[in-house]
Amino acid sequence: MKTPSPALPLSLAAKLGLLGTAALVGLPILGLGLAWAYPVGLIDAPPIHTDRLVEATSNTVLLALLVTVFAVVLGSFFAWIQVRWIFPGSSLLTRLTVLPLVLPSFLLAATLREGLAPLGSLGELLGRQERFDGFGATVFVLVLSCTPYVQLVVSAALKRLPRHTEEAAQSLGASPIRIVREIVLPALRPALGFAALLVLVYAAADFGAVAVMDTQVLTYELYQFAGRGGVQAPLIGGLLIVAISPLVILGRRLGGDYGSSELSYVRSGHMAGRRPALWVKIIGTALLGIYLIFGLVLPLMLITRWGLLIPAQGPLIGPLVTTAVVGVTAGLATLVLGGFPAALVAKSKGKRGALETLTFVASGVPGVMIGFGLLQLALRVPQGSLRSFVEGGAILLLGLALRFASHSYAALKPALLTQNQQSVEAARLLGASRWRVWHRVRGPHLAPALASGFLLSFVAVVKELPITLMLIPAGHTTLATRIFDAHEDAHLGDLGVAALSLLGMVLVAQALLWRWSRHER
Amino acid sequence: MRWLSIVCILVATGCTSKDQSTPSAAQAEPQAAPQAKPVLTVYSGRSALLVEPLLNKFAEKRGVELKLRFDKSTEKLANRLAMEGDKSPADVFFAQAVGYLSLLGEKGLMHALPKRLTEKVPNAYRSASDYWVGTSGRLRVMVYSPERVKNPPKTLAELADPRFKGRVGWAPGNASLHAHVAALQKHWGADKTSAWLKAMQDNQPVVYPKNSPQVRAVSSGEIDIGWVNHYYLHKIRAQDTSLKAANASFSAGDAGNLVMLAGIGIPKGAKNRQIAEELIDFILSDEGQNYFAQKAYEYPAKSGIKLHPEVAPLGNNLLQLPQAAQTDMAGSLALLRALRIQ
Repeated sequence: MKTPSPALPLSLAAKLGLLGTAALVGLPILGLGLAWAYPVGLIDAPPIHTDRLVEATSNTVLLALLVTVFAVVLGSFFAWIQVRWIFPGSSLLTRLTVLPLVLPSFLLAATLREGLAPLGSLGELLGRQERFDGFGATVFVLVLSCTPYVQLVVSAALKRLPRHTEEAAQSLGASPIRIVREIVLPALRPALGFAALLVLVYAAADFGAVAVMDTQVLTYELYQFAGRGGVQAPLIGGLLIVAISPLVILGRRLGGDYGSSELSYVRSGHMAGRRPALWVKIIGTALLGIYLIFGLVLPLMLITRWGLLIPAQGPLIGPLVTTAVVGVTAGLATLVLGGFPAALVAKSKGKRGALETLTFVASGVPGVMIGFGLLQLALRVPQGSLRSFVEGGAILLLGLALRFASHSYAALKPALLTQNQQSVEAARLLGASRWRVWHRVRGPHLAPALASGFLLSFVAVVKELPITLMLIPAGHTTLATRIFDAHEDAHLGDLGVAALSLLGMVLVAQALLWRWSRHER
Repeated sequence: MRWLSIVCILVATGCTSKDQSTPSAAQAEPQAAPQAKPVLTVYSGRSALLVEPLLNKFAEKRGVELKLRFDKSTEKLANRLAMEGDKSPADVFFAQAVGYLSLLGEKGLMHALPKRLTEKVPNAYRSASDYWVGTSGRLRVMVYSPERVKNPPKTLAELADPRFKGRVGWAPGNASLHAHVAALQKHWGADKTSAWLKAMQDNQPVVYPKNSPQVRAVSSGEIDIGWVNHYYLHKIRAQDTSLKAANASFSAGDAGNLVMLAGIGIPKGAKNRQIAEELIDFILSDEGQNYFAQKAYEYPAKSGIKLHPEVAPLGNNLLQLPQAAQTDMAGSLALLRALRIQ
């Protein structure tokens, strides 16, 4: 049982650590500022196209809003089927609908663009005349990518809802619609709010799908202007921060205790579901089926066909090793960067402060912005051993750790908060050394959370594209960048083989994650 | 703290290792490296899948360790080099379009190459100031669907005809297009080039990041015609025989029939100039030139090298324009940006 105790004052070391973390988070912004103040280019800087900026900004906002609306409706519907209804196939189908999570958005976009082209595998079958790209196609792809996040968050919340209130209302004659409107929806509001903001930030910050679909939004504009000199790129970067930071802060406020730990596992098993009307079954099955065809079956079919039937040109071992090394090191780095604020928040007995906001803001900043800011900074480090260290991988690890620190934070904070201080003190009174206290008391308690935090970050890192694309050391390629390059080079054999390897790696990590999560529970 | 030390070890051994295929090499270095291999840093605007096997062959022969930085955009790579100035770690700059090498040379950021290297290729294939030497050539063509386009355009100007509205693809961020626009400005003049680009833009072309996806897009029905280099079709067809697309040139002497050079040079900050020159020498050797001809389906810069059987010899229908006409990248980019194309 936890003993309430006053928050402990922060030590000098903790304060210095706090300042250090804040400084790290500020590095991409510093890079942005330097690029603005000292633009360098081979030729005259391109002019700032205000109308292009306005168009990109409005496209970004509209894209994020549309994806959010569709993904929240679809994901909530799937969650409802998963938790509350039971009909033939519903259990299997709703388990499968979370699997598109393993597909990075750029891979999903690349396969759908090819498959739904007029002469593509499905495009020809459907008699499509138009190519599958642009704004509408991007909305479609991102809805497919984001729906599992909503399903996971909302289904977890639905399972936690006490059923007795609904049963009481039902026994008093309330209609199902009234029960949903007056009892279920208000109770789900924090989960829905968190899921909506999660999707909003995801869609606004996405780089992969918009790049493959050639959609002019801020992230893709920044990528295109990065490296060309001039002030257009830092200007777009600034706009991105201004547009997204308030969303992240709002998300933290609305989401309450919801965090990315909600996404760490699929809670299996059905509660006592009821059998819906026939028309509901038909609509539900159709929607689940259509979602799975586009979100899972078609992409997997194409990747497998390309990987097996078209010979690859480049070797795979290099990207595979680099991906594993980057995934492991960056996963550990996120534990450091996310674990430190989690430990401080735990020390202050759960009082969330600037540090937590800082962690989440850093993680909410689009990867392309972090990559650009850090690259600008790295290029301005004088030549020498420091520059070699920075360009040798340190800057990449920092970028990835900043981007995904919130994953480790969300996984570690609950474990740190629920540590039984009495057990620790009892062990010390019994003469246990510091190491033994860690080994026998703290370690076993924190291990599942550390494993979850690491694996969550690992999965996110190996799928990450823009930071890796911009900061990877010379001579290295990850599976994600190989897939992106192979798509741009139209080398579908290389794309297929790299995608199959990436999916294998993610699935292994995900399986371990589910195992640890069960252990944690 | 245990995992903190693991991070440090992995950072030191994994991510800073110089060869992606041997991540444990750095760990073994203290015991088994009496003489460290010299490191040659190559910036390449040519794709990894295309040139990496050739560069690796040189590294193996010469006993050198390569640090390769690839970027699909030669423009961005040239900008990076300009930003790094004479402190750049690059020993060699391998550019998809020689115009960027000229531009860097004019800014004083390239060494002049020795005559023994530049004289390996004909005069037309090297820089007047010896800042670069051409390594291979490519022909600008259109790739199209013979099933859907019964009467392909006869001239480049006709590609902007309204009958092709929404059916044409291009890659305005690609160095080949920049070089072609530079050549058009010399050949047609600025006004006609600008008017043609505007007509193309009004025709709502589909934008691709590179040339190769246009070939694939013709085959998958996304577009009917792409404006590309000749070799992409051959390379993609070698992998995928079901490809439904064909190359076509424009009428004899038309502005569309342009031969373009990829080139190589040594940046001012090169630390290993001697090895960089050896690499260029290797690329211009029969072995290197045969690689470009047989594996990349390109036109060798050096005379006397046999073409790939699938590649048609350069005939007499080419636009006769000196290579220098393709090097005004600043003018080309300024026009593309003024028209909001790039």
